[in-house]
This record gives sequence, C-alpha cells and structure tokens, in this order.
Amino acid sequence: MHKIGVVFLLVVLVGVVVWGGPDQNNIVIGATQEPDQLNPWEGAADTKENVMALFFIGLTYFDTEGNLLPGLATEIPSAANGRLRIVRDAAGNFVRQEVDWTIRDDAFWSDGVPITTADVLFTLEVQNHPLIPVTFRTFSAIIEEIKVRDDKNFTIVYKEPNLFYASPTGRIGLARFYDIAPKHIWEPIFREAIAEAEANPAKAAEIIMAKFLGADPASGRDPTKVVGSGPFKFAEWQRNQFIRGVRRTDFFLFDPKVYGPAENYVKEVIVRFIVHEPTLLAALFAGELDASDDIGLAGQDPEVLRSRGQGVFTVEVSPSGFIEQLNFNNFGHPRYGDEGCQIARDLLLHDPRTRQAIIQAIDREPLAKAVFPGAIVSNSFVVRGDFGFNPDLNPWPYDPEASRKLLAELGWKDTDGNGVLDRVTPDGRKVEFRLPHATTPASFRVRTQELLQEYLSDVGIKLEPVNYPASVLFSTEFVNGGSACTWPGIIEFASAGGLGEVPADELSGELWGDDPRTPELWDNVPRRANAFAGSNVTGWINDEYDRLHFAALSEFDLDQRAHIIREMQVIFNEELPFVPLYERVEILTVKVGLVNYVKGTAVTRTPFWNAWEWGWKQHGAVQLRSAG
Amino acid sequence: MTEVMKKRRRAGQRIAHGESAWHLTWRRFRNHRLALLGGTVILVLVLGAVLAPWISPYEYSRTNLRRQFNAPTFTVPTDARLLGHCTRPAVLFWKCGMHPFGTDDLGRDILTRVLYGGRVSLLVGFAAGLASTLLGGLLGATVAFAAGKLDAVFSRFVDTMLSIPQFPLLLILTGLLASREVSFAVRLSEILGGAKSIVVIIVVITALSWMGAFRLVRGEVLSLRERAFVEAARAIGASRRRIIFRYLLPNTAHVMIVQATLMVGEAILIESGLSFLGLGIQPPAVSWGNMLSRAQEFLYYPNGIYVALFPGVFIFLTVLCFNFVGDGLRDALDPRFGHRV
Amino acid sequence: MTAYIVRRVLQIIPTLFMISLIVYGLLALKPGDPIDELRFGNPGFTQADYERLIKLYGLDKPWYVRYWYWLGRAVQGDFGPSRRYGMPAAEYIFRYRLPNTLILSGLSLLVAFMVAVPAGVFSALRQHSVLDYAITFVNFIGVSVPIFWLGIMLIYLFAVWLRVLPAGSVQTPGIVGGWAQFVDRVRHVILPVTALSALQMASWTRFMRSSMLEVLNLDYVRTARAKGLAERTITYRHALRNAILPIITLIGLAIPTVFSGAVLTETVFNWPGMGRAIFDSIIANDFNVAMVALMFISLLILAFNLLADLAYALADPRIRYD
Repeated sequence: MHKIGVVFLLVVLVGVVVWGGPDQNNIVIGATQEPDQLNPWEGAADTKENVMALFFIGLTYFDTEGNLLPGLATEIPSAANGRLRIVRDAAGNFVRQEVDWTIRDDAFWSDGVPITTADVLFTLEVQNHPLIPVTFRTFSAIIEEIKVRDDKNFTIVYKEPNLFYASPTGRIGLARFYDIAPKHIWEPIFREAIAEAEANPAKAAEIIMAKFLGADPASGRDPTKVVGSGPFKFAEWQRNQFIRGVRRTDFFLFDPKVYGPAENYVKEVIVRFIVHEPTLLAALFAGELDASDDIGLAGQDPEVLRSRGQGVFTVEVSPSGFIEQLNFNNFGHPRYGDEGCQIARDLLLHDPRTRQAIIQAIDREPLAKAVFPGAIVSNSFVVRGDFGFNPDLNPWPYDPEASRKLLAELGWKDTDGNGVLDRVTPDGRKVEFRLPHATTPASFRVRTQELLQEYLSDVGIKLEPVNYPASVLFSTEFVNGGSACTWPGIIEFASAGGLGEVPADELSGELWGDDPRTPELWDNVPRRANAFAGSNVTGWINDEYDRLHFAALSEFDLDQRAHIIREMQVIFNEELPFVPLYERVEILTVKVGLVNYVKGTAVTRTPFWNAWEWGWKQHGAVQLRSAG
Repeated sequence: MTEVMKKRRRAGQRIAHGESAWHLTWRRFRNHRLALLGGTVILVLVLGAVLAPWISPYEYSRTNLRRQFNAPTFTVPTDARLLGHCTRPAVLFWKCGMHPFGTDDLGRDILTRVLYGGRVSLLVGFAAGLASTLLGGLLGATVAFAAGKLDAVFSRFVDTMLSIPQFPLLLILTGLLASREVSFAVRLSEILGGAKSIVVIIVVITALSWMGAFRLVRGEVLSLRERAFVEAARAIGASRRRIIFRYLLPNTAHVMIVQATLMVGEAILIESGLSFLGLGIQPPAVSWGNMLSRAQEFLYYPNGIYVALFPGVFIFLTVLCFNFVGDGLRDALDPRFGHRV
Repeated sequence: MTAYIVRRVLQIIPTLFMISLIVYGLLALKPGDPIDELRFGNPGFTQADYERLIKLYGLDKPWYVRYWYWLGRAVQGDFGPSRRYGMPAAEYIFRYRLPNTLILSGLSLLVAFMVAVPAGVFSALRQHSVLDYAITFVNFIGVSVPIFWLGIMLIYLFAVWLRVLPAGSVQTPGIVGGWAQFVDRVRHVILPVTALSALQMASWTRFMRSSMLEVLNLDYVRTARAKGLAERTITYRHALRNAILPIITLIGLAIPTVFSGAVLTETVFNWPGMGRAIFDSIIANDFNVAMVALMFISLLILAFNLLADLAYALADPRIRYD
C-alpha cells in the first residue's frame, strides 16, 4: 500500500509533462489580461486584448517600424494612387471625401467563405445601430454613403474630413484588427436579437448582451462558429485558463516564396492567462512560457529579467505610447466662478507658475528609473517617435531653487516654520500648501507617490496621498468631478500619446476645452452645467490651443499637420495642463529560438500583429524581424 | 490541554482557597512556557513599534535611490552620499548607513519599516480584536439575558451573517468605505485624513468578526442565567443592567479574554490578506501586510527576497505568539477549575 | 427527526432571502456602475448617451426597486446576464468557475481531514513524545502563517527553484485525455491544496488531539480497559468513534472559511475559482455574477451546516431533535 503511494508520488513529481515549445512546434504565450468576449464590435463594454489579432486582420495594419500596410485590402488609399479624393467647391471649401477600397481576391474567412463588400456594409450597419452599445462612432457617423461597385470594390463617401480613413469603420488601435466582421455568421444572430429587443424594450440591453454580444461566435462555446479573417483559426477557449488557435493553411499573407514551407512555422498558439503578475513571473522563470505579451510585465526591470533569462529567453523593451501624468485641478480658475473647486483655488493650481514650480521640484530622471525601469522622461503630450513629436521643448530639468522662487513669487512662505508653505488668500484665510494626490494603488504609482512626497516636501509642499481602487478612481463621478472637488489637487493616470496617424490625445481629446463650431461654452469640460460630460477633466482651457486642435483635425497634409501639432506642444509645454512624468515602456520576453515575435513601435499596438510569421529556428523558420 | 497541566491544576485547586482568582490564573499561565515566551515576544514587538522613532536612525518613508535592494549589511559605506537621510548618526550599535534587514525597492531601511509597520499592524490587531470581542460579548450577554424575541432575532441575524462568505463582504465594505460616496465615509476621512485606511480596516474587520464572540458569550450566559447566584440576584431585585455587568459579564471574562487574544492574531492575518489584494492599509502608511503585498513583485530581484522575508516573518511570529498566549490563557482560565462567584 | 429536517430546510429560505438583501444592498451602495467603463476616455460619449444607457441597464431606479426585480427573476432561476462575459451570470459561474472551486475546496477539506484525524490521534496516544511536540508545533505554524504567503513560498520553492511542480493554473493547455491528463491535473492541484488546507489541517489536528485525550479519560474507556479489552480495540472502536464527533461540526463551520479564504489561494495560484470570480466581478461592477456566486456559496454553507448537524445526530445517539 505504502509502496504504491510512493510510486505514484514519484510519477507525479518526476513525470514532468511538457507541452508547447520547439519540440512540438507550438508556442505558449503568457498574458495577464483575458478578453471578455471575442466579438468584433468596437468598445462593446469589453476588453479584447491581443488575441483578437490572432483571429482577425483588418483592411490595413502597422508593422514594427510604424508603416501602414495593406491587410485585406489590395493597397492603401492615397492621393497618389487616386484612391483618396477630397472634393472641394470653387471657393476651395471642403465638400466631401471619397475613399476607394478593393478587397483581395484571396481573402477568405476561416470557414472558407470569401470576404466581400457585404461584410463591410454589415459591420457598419451593426456599428451604427442605436441598440448596440458601441461607443466609438466618431468616424462611422460621418459617412454619407457607401457606393458598392461589386463584391470586392467599394467607395466610402465622408461628409466631413476624415483623417482616419485607413479603417472603413473608423477603428483605431487594436480594434483595427477586427474592423470587418463575417456577415454570414453574425447577420442571423443580429436580426434575431434586434427583433427580440425591439419587441421587449424593457429588457433590450440584456437581450443584446446575452443574445448578441455574448452569442456563440463571441463566447467560443461552439468553436466552429468563431470565424475570423486572421492567420489562426480559433480552436478552444477554456475561460480563465487559455485560448488556443490553429494555423490557417489558406492565409493570404503567408507567402511561401518569402517564408519557405508553412510546416516550418508554429502550428498552434496557446495564450495562457495568468492574472496575478508575480505568478506570471514564476511561470516564466519556471520555463512554462515560450513568450510573454506586452502588458503583463509592465513596470518590471528589464535588466533583472535579462540577467534571469540568460540563455533561456531574451527581453524586448518597446515604447507603449502611454504617458504617465500628473493632472492638476484647474477649476480654481476665475472663469469658473463659484462653480469651481475652492481647495484648488486656494492652492492656485490654475496658475501655470504653480505647475512649473512643481515640475521643476521633481527629479523625474531617477524617479522614472526607480518606478518604471526603461521609461523615458517626457515633456509633451505626444510620445517620441510619433510623427508630430516636437523634440525642441523645454526639458524642465530638476531645479528646486527655481521652483522655490516661483512659489515665493506666488505668495507662498513658511511663516510658522512647520516646513509647509502657507499664504493668506484674498478673503483673509491662511491656507497651507497641502496638495491632495489621488491615484490607483498600482505599485508603480504608489512608489511614484512616495518619491513625489519627498521631492515636494523639499520645496515646502506637503503631498497628501488619497488612493482609490481603479474601479472608484476611474468611475465618472470621480474623475469627471474635478469641479466638484472629488479630486481637489492632483490625479495621476496615463493616457495615450500617439497612434501613428495623429496623437491619441487629440483623439481622446483630454486637452481641448471649447468647440468653436457649437454654441455651448466649454463643451469638453465636465461641470455641473453639462451634467459632468466631456473628457477635459482638468478644466484647463486655452483658446489658441483649441484653435490649433480643430485646425489639425481637418488638415490632410501630413507635414502641415505635424507642424500644427508641434505648435500645440509648445503651448502645452509652457502651460503644463498636466505634468508629464515619463513615457511608459512595454516589456516582452521571447524564448531563445522563437523568431519574429516582436512589437517594435507603439504604433504596432501588439506583438501579435504578425502571428503568421512566428516560428522556431529549430524547425527552419526564417528570422525576418528582430527587436531594435 | 496536557496531562501535566491537569495535574498542576489539581494541585492549584487545592491551594486555591487562599488565593485570588487572578493570582491563580497568573500562576497557571506562568507555567505554560510557550505562552510566556509568546507574551514576552509580543511585549518586545509592541515596545519596538512604540519606540520606533527613537530606536531607528532612519525615517520610514525617506527614500534613497542610491541604495535600492541592498542585502542586510552592518558596514557603513565610506561614500557619504550613500548614507541617505538619517535623523541621527547612530542609536547604540545601529549606525546611520547600516541596514540590518537590508533595503527595499526605494532604498529605505527594512528594519525601520518593519518597526513602523508593527505600529499599524499591531494597532489594527489590538483594536479590531478588542472591539469585536467587546461588541460581540456585550451583544451576546444582553441578548441572551433578555431572551425571547430579541434573542431569536439577533441569533438569526448572526446565523445569516455567518452564512455569507466573509472575504467578499470584506471587499465590498472596504470598497464602500474607501470611496467618498457614503456620508459616513466622508466624515471618517475628514476626521482622519491620512490615517483613514487604518480605521476603515479596523471598522471592517470588527464589523465582520464580532459574531464569534457573540456566540460564545451568548452560550455561556444562557447557561449562567439559570444558575443560583443569578436567580438570587434577581430575587433581591437587582436591575437588569446590574445583573449583566456585575454578575454575567465577569463570569464570561475567561471566554472573552481568550477570544480577544486569538482575534488579535486573526485580525493581523485579515489585514495582510486585504493588503495583498490591494484593499488594505494604503501607502504611504506602512503595515506588515502592505509591505508584504508589495514585496511579491520583487521576489525574483537580486536581494529582493529580503523585502518579502522580514514582514512575512514578523506577521507569522506575531500571530504565532498570540496563538501561544491564547492557548496559555485558555488553559489558565479554564472555567472547570477556575473560581466562580 | 423528519419534522426537524423539514423545519431546518424551510429555515434556509428566509435566511437566503436576508443574505441576498444584505449583499445586494451593499453592492448597490458601492460607487461605480457598468457605464463607467464605456464612458471613460471616450470623446464621443455624451450625457444623452449616458442617460440612454443608464435607462437601458435599468440603473435609473433606486436600489431596492432593482433588488425587487432581481429577486422576482432570481426565484425563477434567472440571475440576469453577465455584462462582461455576455452570457447568463449563472452559466458563467456554474460552467467555468464552480468545478474548479469544488476541486480545490473539496480536496482541501478532504486532505485536511485525512491528515488531521490520524495526526491528532497519534499525537494524543503518544502524548509528550517528540513527535507529539513536533505535530503541535507544526500546527501552530499552520494557523499563524498568511495563506497567500505560504502559497508564494511554495511556488518559489517547488516551481521556480526545484522545478518539480507547475507554478499555477488548473492544467497544462494541450494535454488532453487519459493518464497524462490525470497526472497533469494532480500535479497542478498539489500546491494550492497544500496552501488552502494548511489552516484547517492545523486546527483540526489540535482539536482532534484534545478531543481524543478527553475521551480516553472518560469512564467508559476506563471500564473497557478494566474489562481487559485490547488497547487497539479500545482506541479505534470506542474512543475514536466518539472523539471524531465534534470534528463533524468543525467541518461544517470550516466551509465558509475554505470557500471565501480561497480567493487568496486562487489569486496566487491563478486558479479560476469562485472566490476570484466574486472579487473580479465586484471590481468590474459586474454585479449579477457576484450575486449568483455569493448566493450559491451561501446556500452551500447553509446546506453543509445542516448536513453537519444531521450527521452529528446520526452519529451520536444521545442527541435527539424533536
């Protein structure tokens, strides 16, 4: 009896079962975030993450150098090839914009059905349907009409200038990969769900959620129904464990003349979800993973990983396109009157000199190194490498003396000698410079906070951390409530600073204040007056900046546009609506022998962009790309 | 309890008539070697925590980016820039520049942080342990003595509360109190400022762990209230309050003391668990729990293990000691051999 | 007896009702709603959109009204959809989470029981031996070490350093069928079960030991001894049977701890169980999932408490319920 037990134990301990890796020509990738659903509908209340790029490809995609390449399309529309036309009237005013697209003849869905213009039309119909909780309609809403010429050729006509025409459904970022959905799969589901929802308005949202967004082609319950256009075919999804995909033999971008025989490349991909970061690290060090994605290891020290991975895996560090920033409550500005925030007003946060004093009080170089190894100090709202990036900005070096001088200029003085500056407000109250700092308890932010506390106390500012779980901090009541003093001082988060075509900040519009085309005042600034809608959460407004913002949005000439964006950065850099701390980096690991698993620039968005090229050297895969 | 203890106790019983109950208890407790050891260690930890600012030459929050992730060292670096900020050049043998437990991810002295972290962790433990026991005990005694409907309703409520998984409730409550939405939380944060998260944790742990004491004390009182001395007190017209406070509660003291002791350890463990999930004590306040939760990221860094090792050892040691003491107290206060009014 | 069972089963219903009210109320009071994620960082999102979506999701009504709707449908077995996963909340929990939880928690209880009883008995029989002290000491460690810390150390030791066991998860993807899959599953379950069962193992051993000691000193055991029965028979036929009784109640009481304490173990070992599901869904404002999981665990706890009482009654003829 005892012997059997011992033998069993030995079998269990020693019988190490290996799956994946070069032996079986497979690859296991570790990731911390799992998609909620696999539906190809933008922003439908779920996160989709990298795996979507395994199963889908859009009309266009970006390579590691940030070049836009045709995917399902035969070529990228441009003025040069005549596929992009701006129609103007006699006075030179914009009338409409036309974009011609041709879908490749050899583009098929993973179940063998050809991809056609009907799929494009259907995707747009879903996207614009009022009952579908798609949130990003900015570019699909300005489509005037779609002229269908045949199965493969169509022209999209926009009534307003659209710089983001490279995706017909107006998708940006990762969503670009699934910008066309299979009509033959989704249409019956869509019609049925809509009919039921319309018949039962009280439960419409739930019906759409359960019958449409979570239907079989999205949930993976029936793997044959998950049909995509990408290099891998969906095979299996064990929720909260892994997703498995199998190589498609008919994928049109795989050219044997370039790559050699398909057998040389990985047959199956498994993306393993390990939510807890230290456990992901353990799995990596235990040799259970062939690669890790670009999100899971954020904030880790690449040098430590490198020394750990010697001979086993290599480490790629790439820009993330995100800038970690300290946003200031500007609702103390006189323009807001009583509607603003009293604490912010007392602290003079709306005065650019306050922000300038604070940026100079922080030694951002060592801070970035300590809290986010590999990150680069930023002075702009645009990331390096973006076409509009302005390299000639004031670098705001660490200068506590200059900071103290500015604060003194603003009337701050430590009269009671307690180490914290104070001043007397115009209405005769004595206030101390106690600056509330709100953020999430993510470890690198807590570390930032601890360092900031120290730097600021050196110039007489007492930083008072108030942290909230992400679900609270990013709740609209909170982040949009600056004018109601939900965060009266600083709020720290990261926002995207570049996506290649234009800076993302322009897109997500966190800096502009007033749209001159509308009668409303300060459209983008959340206040009680507009029920706290809008994305300019800090309340910073600069008329010249707003003018440039809207000029850039309708400027088709790339050089001209870059010029305007550089101008905007000059204003930004002087006024500092937020203090940029650093550009975050992303870290991925690749087992030695695995080739073409690279991310490159922030524009690429995902290391999964070229999954068809992944392979093991041992099996004869050709190395075409390597991390810069 | 062990055979030896029993013999001792019998011996104690014989001479007990001339001794006070507490004296007797102390004699029994003293004989429980592990409990004595535990008590001593706890005393040392409490002293260390209370005296932290005078024991350590460092401030717990002051960083030193030139000395991140140092192994424990007793050598003072010759380069003055590496010393970092000290509040004093030395405390006895502990010179500025020495790091007996090493330094953490921001170059702060781990021993100093452990001492300061002990303040918060022990405070949470004592406060939550005491509060939940008193709350539960008082409610239990009152309800059991009043009997009837009140007893039935409360017991039902406690049964219900015990059937809800505790951890999710902890999460929801912490989230609730950590936000500004609820007026109670707003008031709390105005009063407490930076220390808010500590009080939130104490309140939440208390709110979800008084039921143990409630059940114990209720059961005890239910059996006591039928006893002759309570009957007698009632007969001579003692008020309800007097009976509860003068006769019933003192006779449940042994249960409450043991329960409180064990709850202190339990509360420290709960705090560390909540901190592990990011919902516990919020930095810059430092507790063993949040030191530990942060340390797991650096486990695989060179010398990173020390960041995780020491707070873990201290949690373990403290809880262990409270268990020892609780065990010793249980044996010493065992009602079967103790005095009754 | 039958009347007693019926009464106890019927009592479960109002208790469940109270639990649902408490939990729903607390969840509804928590700030943040499902719209937040749609709204944040989305320039096209207007106040009109917000109002439309709030209505669409029924969030414009006060929480007790929503609770009433929820209850009305819950009693019919409809717990609403999961906003995140786009499938019925109950399906998500029962299909993807429950099996894992049952494996982890069930095995942990089983292992704790299988280790605690012999260890406790042994400790009691060989009182004051070196092994007795060793077992006692290990028990103290078991109740004093933070579960998640134990888990992290186990991973560090067995997965990263020795490389004999996997660092987490339920199984190795891609291994399907037969002996290989079974072995793979066993390998994955060893570390989490060790971490999760440590506490119960320790406290039950202690309990078993003192219970056994007490029984061994009782009159009937002495009588049995006086009658000249073999020591073996006395220990296993008479003493053990009675000493094991109180443990049954303890198991009932341990269920909530094992199920809800599992969130820490699940996090460390990347084990997709119910504890983590509840945690994640609360964080992501996906309340239907949290509700169905919490209600189910509560039901499980109530059921096990009842079972423990019944088992006690069956095992101990002195107890009668009328």
